[in-house]
Amino acid sequence: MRAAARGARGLASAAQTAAKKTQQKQSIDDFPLIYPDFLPSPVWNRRSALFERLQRADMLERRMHIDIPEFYVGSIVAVTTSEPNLATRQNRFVGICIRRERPGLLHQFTLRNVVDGLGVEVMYELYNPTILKIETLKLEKRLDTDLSYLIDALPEYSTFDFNLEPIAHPVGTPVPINDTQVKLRQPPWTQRWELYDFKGIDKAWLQATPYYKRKLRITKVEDYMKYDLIRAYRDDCQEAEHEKNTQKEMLEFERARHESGATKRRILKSAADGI
Amino acid sequence: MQLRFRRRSNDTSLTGRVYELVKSGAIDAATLQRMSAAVHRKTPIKSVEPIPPPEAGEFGENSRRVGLVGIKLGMMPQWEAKTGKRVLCTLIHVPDNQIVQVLDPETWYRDSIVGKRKAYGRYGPHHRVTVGAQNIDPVFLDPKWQVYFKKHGVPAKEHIGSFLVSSDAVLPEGFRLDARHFNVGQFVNVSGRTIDWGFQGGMHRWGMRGLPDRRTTKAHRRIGSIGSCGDARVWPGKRMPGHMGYEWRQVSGLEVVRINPLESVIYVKGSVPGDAQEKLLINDCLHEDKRVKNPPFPTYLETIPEEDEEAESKQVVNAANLTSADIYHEKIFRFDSPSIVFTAADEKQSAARDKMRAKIAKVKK
Repeated sequence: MRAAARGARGLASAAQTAAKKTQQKQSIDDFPLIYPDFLPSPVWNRRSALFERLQRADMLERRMHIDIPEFYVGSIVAVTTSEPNLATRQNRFVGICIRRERPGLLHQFTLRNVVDGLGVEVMYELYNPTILKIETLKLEKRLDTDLSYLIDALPEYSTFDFNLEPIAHPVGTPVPINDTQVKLRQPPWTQRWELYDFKGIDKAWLQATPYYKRKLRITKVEDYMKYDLIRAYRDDCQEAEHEKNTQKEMLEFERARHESGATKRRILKSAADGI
Repeated sequence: MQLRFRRRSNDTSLTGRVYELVKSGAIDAATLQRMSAAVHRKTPIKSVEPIPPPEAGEFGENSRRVGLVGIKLGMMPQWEAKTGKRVLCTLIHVPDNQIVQVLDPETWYRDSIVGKRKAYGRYGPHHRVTVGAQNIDPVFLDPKWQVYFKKHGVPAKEHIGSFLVSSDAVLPEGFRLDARHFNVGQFVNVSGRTIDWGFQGGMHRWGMRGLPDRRTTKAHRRIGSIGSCGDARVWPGKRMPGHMGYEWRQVSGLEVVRINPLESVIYVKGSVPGDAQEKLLINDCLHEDKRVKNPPFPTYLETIPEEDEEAESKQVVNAANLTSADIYHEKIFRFDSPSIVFTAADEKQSAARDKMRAKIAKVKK
């Protein structure tokens, strides 16, 4: 029994040190992927230090009042918004996140679902004050960062149960990548999916009609763009120093709010890193 | 995709050749320091006696207050607190605004062609008050501008702009203006140079329709005919391709929805002319229905006394308290309040809805 008690104490202390270590870790490696709204604008002229500071102040203040969970393109998210004309004054929509766009307070994400056989895409502004709750029902990634092609895929790939129970993600484990390859409907499609390099589409080129394959030679295909490093630097907006400073600012903001006693909510979180 | 041509950089500021050379790297840091020291020896910044604050006055019918010189930062959304409707706002930074020069109507009329038009008008004589914004090291200015700022005893500014001001609203030279010069909820005119589009063709510059896609030889975006045979000439002012944009324009009647006094930033509802980092002039809108009522006259005078000013400068402004002193319009949602929740009172009231409700109730019975 004594050995068992000692064993239990040892386990408890190991867990404590692990928790302390994760708490001490002050920065997240995947910060631009978890917080794409904190990236600076891709338009070079709009990158002003004062403008970005003012915007971040508003964003952090909002994050202190509503829990904005971590989610990626491919995660299943439920959003509850205030609606003035409904009896319950609330509307809940569940769907798969197909895209996340725009920097700062303008950041928006689109959820897709099939409701009564009709595909529905709803775009939400992340910082809109009518949003009451955002829940990540299933935290996962896909092979692409833009799932717009689901509009031309078979409906089963976009259908999700509105009453889906949240699937807890074990903290500290990496975010799983769902490597399904969707089957598209018969062409013609809304966009020329066969031309893009989407890893999540199953045999798009083989399904494309001979007409479009013949027209390929006059189509503007810009494969060489991926080799433009300056363009990638400018458009991806991922600068290590900027990320470090932003994370420091977030932690300082958190600390100031915790000290004033206003709230105990934490903003800087990462499911994969366990903080 | 239209390429946007780069205009001559920083054309709206008073910076001269030295600024270009430093940016290009032709002048290194050590040389710049020597040049700066030489300029400061020539134009020493003397300690100026504190300017006695002007007395508060009455904003009368023919009063015209001074304006502010600002820099366009960019656009940001805000939301209405009651409806949740999005309001796109332009952020205008008004740093270190200070009165640089005051010209009385008589001198202005005598010495300037513009003065001969503007000094004496329908609403009475007006002073020309020049306001400067954004302190800058005078080494970056042309010697003529260095002498100008020294003459008026004001630190060198990067941007200046002049305003028509009535006699009762004139302020002394060197007086510092605050972002709270405007009231939240009032309407302002914002003027600035529009976006520089460079050399553009007739379709984009003048909205011409071009020529048909089919049955046309190599002339789909050309201007086509430029005159008739009878005139045997081209009319002066004929719309043709040429330089487009970078012209001074004013947008009037924009609402001020929020002011950040710590960083001197004004949030204005709507869009203003020009690109980010460009100079803007902001003044009161005097249209009948948008005219400001009870503005701080002649300007915001509740300045912090010297001891408190020192204490405030010691306080670090970080993200947590950057917007703590903001003045909001009552209709704008503050991010430190909880999410918007609607009640039955917010529901859209209409006769058709009531009728439908009654019908459903009847069917249920």
